[in-house]
This record gives sequence, C-alpha cells and structure tokens, in this order.
Amino acid sequence: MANRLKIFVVTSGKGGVGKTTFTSNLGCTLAKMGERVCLIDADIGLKNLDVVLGLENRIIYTSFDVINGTVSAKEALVKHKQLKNLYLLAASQVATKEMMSPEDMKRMIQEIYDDFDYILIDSPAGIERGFRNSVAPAEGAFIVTTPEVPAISDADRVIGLLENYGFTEDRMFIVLNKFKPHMAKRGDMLDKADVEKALAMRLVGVIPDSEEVIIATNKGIPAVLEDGMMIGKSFENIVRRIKGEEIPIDEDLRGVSKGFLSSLLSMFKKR
Amino acid sequence: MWIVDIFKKRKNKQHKQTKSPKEEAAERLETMLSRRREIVKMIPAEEFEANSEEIKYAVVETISRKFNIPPEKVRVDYHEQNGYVVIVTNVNFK
Repeated sequence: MANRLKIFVVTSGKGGVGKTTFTSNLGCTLAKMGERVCLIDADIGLKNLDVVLGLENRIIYTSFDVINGTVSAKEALVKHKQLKNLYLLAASQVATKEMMSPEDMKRMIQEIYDDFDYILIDSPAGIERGFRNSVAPAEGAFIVTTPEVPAISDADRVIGLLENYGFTEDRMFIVLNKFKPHMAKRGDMLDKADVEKALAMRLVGVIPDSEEVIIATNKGIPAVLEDGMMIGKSFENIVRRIKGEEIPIDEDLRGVSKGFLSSLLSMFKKR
Repeated sequence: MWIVDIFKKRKNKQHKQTKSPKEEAAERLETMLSRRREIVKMIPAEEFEANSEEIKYAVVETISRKFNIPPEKVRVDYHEQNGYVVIVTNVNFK
C-alpha cells in the first residue's frame, strides 16, 4: 500500500521540469507536518538541491565522501536552517555519476534508513547511470512532468523503465508541474485529463506555474516555507494523497484561477 | 498597417477553428506513445543467461516468420551494454 512507502525517487526523464524544486518543497512540506525527512541529491556533478534549500555554504561532506569511507552517512548530513527534522545529503560537484554504483546508493541509504520517516532522492535528468543509482534503493517514484509533449513523452519512457525495475502502478506517482490553468482553459495547453490519458495513470498532484517559486528558489527558501504561497496547498494535498487520503485533484488549483473581481482587487493590493 | 492587422487576425481565427494547440498536442502525444509502449520490453539478466539459447531461437523464429525467410538466414547475436542486453539481429534476404 502506498502509505507504507518510505524511500522515493523523484525523476522525470526530461530536464528542467522542476524535479529539484519539487523535491525540496515536498521535503519541507513533509517536515512541516512533523515527519523526519532526508533529501538526497543524486545529481552528482550538477548538484543543485543544496542551493535550492539555501544550504550551499554548510556542506562539508558529500555522498562521495560516504562511499569512499571518509565519513559515515550520518556524519555527512546537513540540518536545514528552519526545519530541524529536515536533512540533506549533498552531492559532490567534482565527482561524476559513474563514480557511484546502485549498490553504493543502497548501502548509503541503509545506514540512515531507521533515522527517517521519508527519504527523497532527487534523480538527475536522463535514464543513464545517475537514474539507475537513484532508482535502485527506491520503494516509490514521483514522476514529474510539465504539460508539454516532450516532457510527457519522456515521462512515459521513464514509467516503462520503472515498470521494468519492478515498480507497480500503486508505487508510481505522476506530478503535473508548471501547470497554467488559464492556458488550458483557452485550449492552448494540455489539460490534466490529457496527461492522465496519455500516461494511462492518475495524477497525484498538480502544481500551478508560479512566479513566486522562481523568487523563492533564488532566495534559497523553498516556496512552501514562505507565507501566503498558493502552491503550499498543492504540496500538502500530495502528501495527504500518498498517505492514502482521497482528495480531488481540482483542490490543487483552488484559488489559482482568479475571477475578474479578485484580479482587480489584487491589482489594488499591489499598489 | 491596420488593414494588414485585420487580415492577420482573420488568418489566426481561421487557424484556431481548424485545431487548437491542445488538440494538436494531444494527437501528437497519442501517436508517439501508442507506438512506443509496445517496444519497452526488458528481459531480466538472470532469465536471459539461463535461457539465452531459447530466447535466441525465439527471435530467429519470429523474424523468419515475419519476413517469410528460412531460419538459416537469420543470425542473432547479443552483448551487454550499460547493464542492458542488446540483441543484434542480422537478416540475409538474398
């Protein structure tokens, strides 16, 4: 059953769909809900999770030091500044993905398995070694996609690969990121139903496209930690859904499609 | 210039009436994905090692039936690459 899963890989196939932003925000949401969370950056050589979390200056050891035996996995963990139950295991910028094997990854996670309620692995783009390393220890998978043909096509390919790795449908969760409801309404963008139909799977969450996310990411503060952010609700819903709650997917977009009156009001508020 | 704009707008409207970007994208996706889903098939390494001759024979038989040629004209080879088993099939049509 989905609510017993603990180790999740966040993958997509295509780059630039928001895997790292998703991982950091989901991790923060889980931690805010009281769960002990560890985020693992598996994008060796092109790591970014520490930057998105605002922890880049606190990294002393990386996963590369762990597999080399320099330190233990617990010693390499970095605690988040605001959320004391959220930790990061950073990736090295100088190492390459080929320097780590799926077995190394499994061993490293085994060391910290009992200390956390959730472990999220941020996979690199692509389906090569980095992807295989990230998938090896995972019990569940988040497949992040955007409403664009290349991203959905790659997500489909990744689903096929995950199936070959033994992932069943109840352990794969599709997230539609950077969704623009007004474009979908105009018929200029694929809708939630189109994505579900193409991938033949149900969505676990829809995250609306937001300028706030860009601002928050540049500040090194995941958007869900900022006050009054709309996307916080989407992430809370995703967490509740993976824990087995039935929440309609439209709840994720509640308040995003503004009516004429609210748009007018928000204009005055800004001034 | 405004006359040109009117024509441009009309042209856009005509385009919209034929197919919306959403419909076009959905169609493209369907074509791409319906073809691909059949291809994604992986044989576990252990299973392949244990039954490699049988699998080889099955490939030869399928190809020979598909192209209506004798099985002797089909040559099957395989090797491991990045953790995947790659099956190379050569068919002599002459």
